[in-house]
Amino acid sequence: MSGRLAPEPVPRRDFLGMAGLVSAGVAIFGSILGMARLPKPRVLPEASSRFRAGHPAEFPPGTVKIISHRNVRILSTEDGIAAMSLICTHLGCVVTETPDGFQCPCHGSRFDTEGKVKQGPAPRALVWLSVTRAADGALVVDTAREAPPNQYFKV
Amino acid sequence: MASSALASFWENLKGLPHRLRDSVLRHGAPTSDRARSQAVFSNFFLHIHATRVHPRSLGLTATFGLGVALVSQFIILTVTGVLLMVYYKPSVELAYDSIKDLHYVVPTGRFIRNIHRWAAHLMVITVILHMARVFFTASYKSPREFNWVLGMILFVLTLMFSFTGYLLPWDQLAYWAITIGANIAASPNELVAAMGLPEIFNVGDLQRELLLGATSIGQEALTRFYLLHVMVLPIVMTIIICVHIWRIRKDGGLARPEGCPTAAGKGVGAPVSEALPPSVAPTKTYGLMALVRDKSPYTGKVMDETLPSWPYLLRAELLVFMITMLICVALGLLFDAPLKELASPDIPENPAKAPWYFLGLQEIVSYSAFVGGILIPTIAVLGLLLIPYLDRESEPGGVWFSGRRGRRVAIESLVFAIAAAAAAVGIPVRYGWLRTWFPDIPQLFIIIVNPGSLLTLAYALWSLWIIRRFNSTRMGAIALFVCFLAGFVILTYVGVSLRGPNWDFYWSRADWPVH
Amino acid sequence: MEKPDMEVLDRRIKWALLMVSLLTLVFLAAAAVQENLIAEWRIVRGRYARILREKATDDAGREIARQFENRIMQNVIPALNITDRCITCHPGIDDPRMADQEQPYRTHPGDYLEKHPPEQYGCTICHQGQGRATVFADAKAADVHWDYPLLPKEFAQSSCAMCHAPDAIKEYAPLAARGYELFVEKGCYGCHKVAGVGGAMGLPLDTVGVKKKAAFPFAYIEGDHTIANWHIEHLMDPQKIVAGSTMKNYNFTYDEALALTNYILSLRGLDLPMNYIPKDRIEYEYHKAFRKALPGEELYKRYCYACHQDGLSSHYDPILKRYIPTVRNPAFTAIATDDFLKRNIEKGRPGRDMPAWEEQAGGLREDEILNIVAYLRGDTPLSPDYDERYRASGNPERGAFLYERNCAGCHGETGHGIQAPALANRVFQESATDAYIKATIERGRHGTTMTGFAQDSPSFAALTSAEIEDLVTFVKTLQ
Repeated sequence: MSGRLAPEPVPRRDFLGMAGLVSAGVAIFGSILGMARLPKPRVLPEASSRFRAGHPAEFPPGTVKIISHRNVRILSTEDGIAAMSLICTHLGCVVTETPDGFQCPCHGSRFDTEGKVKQGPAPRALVWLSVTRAADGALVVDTAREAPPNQYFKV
Repeated sequence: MASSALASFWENLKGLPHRLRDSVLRHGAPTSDRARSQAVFSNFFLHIHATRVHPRSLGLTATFGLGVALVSQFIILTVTGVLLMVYYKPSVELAYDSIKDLHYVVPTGRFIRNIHRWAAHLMVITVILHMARVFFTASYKSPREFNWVLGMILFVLTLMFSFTGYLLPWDQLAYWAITIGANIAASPNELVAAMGLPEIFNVGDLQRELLLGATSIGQEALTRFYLLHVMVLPIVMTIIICVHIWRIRKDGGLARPEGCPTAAGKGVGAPVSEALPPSVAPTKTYGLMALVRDKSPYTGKVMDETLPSWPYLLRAELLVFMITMLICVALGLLFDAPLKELASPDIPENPAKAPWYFLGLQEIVSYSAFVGGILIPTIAVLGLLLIPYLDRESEPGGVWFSGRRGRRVAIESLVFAIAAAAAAVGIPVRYGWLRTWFPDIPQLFIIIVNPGSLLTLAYALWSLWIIRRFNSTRMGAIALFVCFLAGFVILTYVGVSLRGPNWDFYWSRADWPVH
Repeated sequence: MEKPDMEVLDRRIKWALLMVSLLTLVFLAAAAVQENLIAEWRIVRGRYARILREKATDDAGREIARQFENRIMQNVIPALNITDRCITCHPGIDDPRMADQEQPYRTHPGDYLEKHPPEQYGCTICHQGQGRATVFADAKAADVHWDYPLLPKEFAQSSCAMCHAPDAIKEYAPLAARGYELFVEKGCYGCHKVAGVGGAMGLPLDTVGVKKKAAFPFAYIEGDHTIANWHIEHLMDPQKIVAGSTMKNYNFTYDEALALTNYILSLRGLDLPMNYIPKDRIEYEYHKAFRKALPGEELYKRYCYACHQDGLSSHYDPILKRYIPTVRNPAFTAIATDDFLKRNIEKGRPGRDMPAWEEQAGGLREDEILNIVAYLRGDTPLSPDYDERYRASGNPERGAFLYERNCAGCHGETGHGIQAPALANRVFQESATDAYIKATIERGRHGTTMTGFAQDSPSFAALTSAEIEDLVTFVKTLQ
C-alpha cells in the first residue's frame, strides 16, 4: 500500500476556464450552424416552371396533346384550353392514360378523366395547371402554379 | 413471473436515459486526476494522447503547437471539403459552373470555399514549419526515426492534396497545371530519348497514362484527380496521421532535454542506451494512472512532475484549434479564393503560374522537366527522409539547433544556401546557360547539367564538408536541412515575384510588358 | 517545482482561449451579416421593392409589390447551357412602368424581350458578361477572370447578327448590317474565309467573335483594353496594333470600323438548337447553299479587288512588298486563254500570295469562277496571232544566260519571283503555254514594269526571235 496514491480531488472550476471553454464552444457551434445552411440551395438549378406549349391555333377544340418532357396533358374544348399534370399525387410517378381515365403504374392509383381519385393510395386528384398567354400569343403553362379543376382558359 | 418481467421492463425504460449515457461514456464527469486519466485512455479519440503530459511540452516554444495546428487544419479541410462536395460536380462541363455557383448563390458557399482554400495554403506552410521545428530540436532521433519518416510522407501527401485540389475547379490554372504535371510524369522520356535507350524504358508514357487515363487531358483526368483528392488521399492521410500521433506517445512523448523524465520511462528522457526493449518494458504502465509508486522501474520519480492531459493538454489543444479556426475564418472573410477563366486548351495563361508553394519547383522545372520535376524532388525528399538513419549521434532532444555549434552551422549554411540559390537563378538570367554558349551540345548534358542539379549538388557537398569540418553527422544534417529550406524559400520567391510572361526575369511586376 | 510556472502558463492559455474564441465569434458574426444582410443583390432588390410600392397605384401593381420576394432570381435554359441571374438585380426589365427609372431598374428598351422572352433566351446570349454572378462588377466582368465581358451598348447589335441573317436585321441592327455590307464591299473575303468561302491570306473568321481576350495582343492599343475596342483600333490601323501584319489598311473611319466590328463580333460559330435558329437565317443559308452565280464583276469585287484592285495595271503593294500583277489588262487577256485564267484562279499560285479558289479551297463554284473569267476577259478577244500549238525548242543554256541578264532582277535568279510573278511555280508551269510566255516576252505587259523585248527599251537591248525562243525554252525548265 505504500505506493498507492489517493485520488486527488479536482479543484473547483474557475470562471476564466469556463468562459474560454464556453466561448470556444459557441464559436464552433455557431460555425456548424452556418455550415448547416449550405446544403439547402438558395436557387434551384432548374429550367423555369413556365413553358410555352404552343400557339392556340395548334389546339382546336377537341384536341388532346401530351407534352411528355413536361408530363402535362393539354386539353382543348369549346370552353377553352386547360392543362393537367400527369404526375401522380401519391409518390410522383407518371400516370398513363386509360380509356376511362388514368392509372399509375407504381402503386395502382386510378383517376377518372377529370383527374379525380377513383381507387388506390393517391391522396388527391391530379393537379390542373395555370394556363396563360405570352405576348406573342403563345400558350404558357406553369407547372408550379395550380389552377382550380375544370377551369378552362378562354382563348 | 410475467408481471415481474413487466415491472423490470418499466424499470429499464425509466433507466434508459442514464444507462444510454453510461454505455456511451463509460464513466461520469471526471472528479479527480485519476478519473481524468481514465477518461483519456478509455476514450477512443483521446487515447492516442498520453494520459499525462510534461509541463515543458505545454510551453509555447516546445512545439509552437504546430502539430495540433496541422490536425486542426486537416479537420477544417475535411469538414469544408465535404460541404463543398455537396455542390461540386466533377465533370469538365459542369465543374467550373458549380464553383461559380458555390461562390455566388450557395448559402455560405463562398465563405466555405475560401476557408477550404486558405486552410490548404496554411497547411502547406504549417507542415514545413512543423518539419523545421522537429528537425531543429533533434526530435527525429532514436526512437523517433520512423515517426520522422511518417512525417515526411505526410508532407508529400499534403502537397499531393494541394495539387489534386486546385485542379478540381477546371479553370485555366487547373488545366495547365494538369498539363504540366502530366508532362513532368512523362519526362523520363526525355532522358530515355537523350540516351538513345530503346522504347521499353519509356516509363514516362506509362506514368502519364496512369495519371490522365488518356493521352489528352479531359474528363478521365478530372475523374482520377477527383478520386485522389476526395477518397484516396483522405483515407491514407487519416490513417497516417493517427499512426503519427499515436507514435508520439509510444515513442515517449515529446522530445525534451535530459533531466525532464518521462512518465512512461521510455524514450529520450532516459538515456537512449538504457531504453528498454518493448518485451522487457512494463506492459501496463500503472504509474500513468497514479495508482502505484513502485511497481515499475521509473515509478515514483515521475508522477509529481507531470500533469494530467485532461484538462491541461486538452485545453492547450483547443486553444491551437481555435487559433487555426480564427485564422481560417478571418482569411475566408477577407479574401476570396482565386478562380481563373474557364479551362481553355488553346491558349495558356502567360505566365502560367502554379500556386506559390509549387513555384520553387516550377523554377527548377524551367531548367529541365525530368531533373527539376522528378529527380531533384525525389533526391530532396529521400535525403530528408533518411536523415534520422544517417545521423544517429545520441544527444538530448528538444534543444534548438543542438546548442551553439549548431546555431553557427545553421547561420553559415543559410548564407551559403542563399548565395548558391541566388547564383543558380542569377547566372542563367544574366549569362544564359549551356545552350547559349554551346549551341550544339548534346541534349543529355542540358538535361543533367542545369542550375537546379548543380544547386542540389552544391548543397550535398556543403553538407558533407560540414560533417568533415565538425566531425558530426548532426551538424551535416543541420546544414542540409537549412540548405533545403533556404533553397525552397529563395526559389519560391523567385517564382512568385521575379518571373513574368514567358518565365522571363523581371525585378518588378510593373516591368511586365503589356500583353 | 514546476507547479507555480504551470499555473501561470495554464492561466495564459485560458485567457488566450477566451480572447481567440471571442475574436472568432466576431468574424463569424461579420460573415453572417455579410451573407444574410448586406449582400449587394439584397440591397438592390430591397430598393426595387420600395419602387414597386411607390408605383403600386392599382390592384395589379399592389399585387406585384406584394408578391415581390427578396431572393435570387434566375433564368435557366438547359438547351443553351445558360444560367442567368441578371434579373435578380434588373427586375424591372419586363415592367413597362419602369421606363423612367435609372439602371439597374429600367425597362428593357424596344420590343426585343417580347420576341426573345428571357426565360427562353436568357440575357447573356445577347449581352454576354457573367450571367451566374450576383455582383455587378463580376457580372460585367471587365476586370475579373471571365472570357466574355458584358458587350458595350454600341456593340450589342453584333448579337442580333449572331443568329439573324445580315440582310434581315437592317431595321433592328443597322450597324451590324452595314458592317456586313462593308465586309463584302471592301473585299474582306479576298483574304478571310467565312463559312468556307474566302481567301487564305488572313485568318478564317468563323469564330472570331468568341475569340478570348487573352488571344489578342493589347500592347499597342491606346483606348480601352476590350476586345471590341481592339477590333476598332486594329481595323483603323492594322500595322500599328500588330507589327508586321499583312492586313490591308483601308483607313476606315471610326463609324466604318464600328460597323465592321459589330459584324465581326457576330461571328461566334454558335451551335444553336434547331428551334432557336430564326427563319430568316435558315432562308439565308438556303440561298447561300443553292445560290445562283453572281455576275463576274460583283464576284471580282468581292474576292479579287482587295489585292488586284481594278486589275488594269499592276501596282506596288507596300505591305506585301511586291507588285500585284494585272489581271484585266488587255495586253494580258489577249494572250491568256480562258483555260489559263480558270486554272490559275482555281489552283492559285502555291507558295505565293494568290490562294486557290476552287470549291474545296476558296469555296467558289465552277460557274462562279467562269463568271470571273468572263469578267476578266471583258471585251478583249484572244489575239489572232496567238498560236497555242507553238512549242519553243531553243537552247536552254543560252536561255539561262539571257534570263540571268534580262529577267532575274525582277523574277529572281531561280524564278521564285521577287517583285514580279514567280515563274518556277507549279501552277504557272502547268498552265502557261509556250505561246503565252513568248508573247509576254516579245510584247511586254502594258501597264506594268514588264517591258517588251522585241524592241529596244531604255534599259534592255532588243532580243532576236531566236533568243526569245531560247529564253522561253529556259523558262519552261524552271522548277
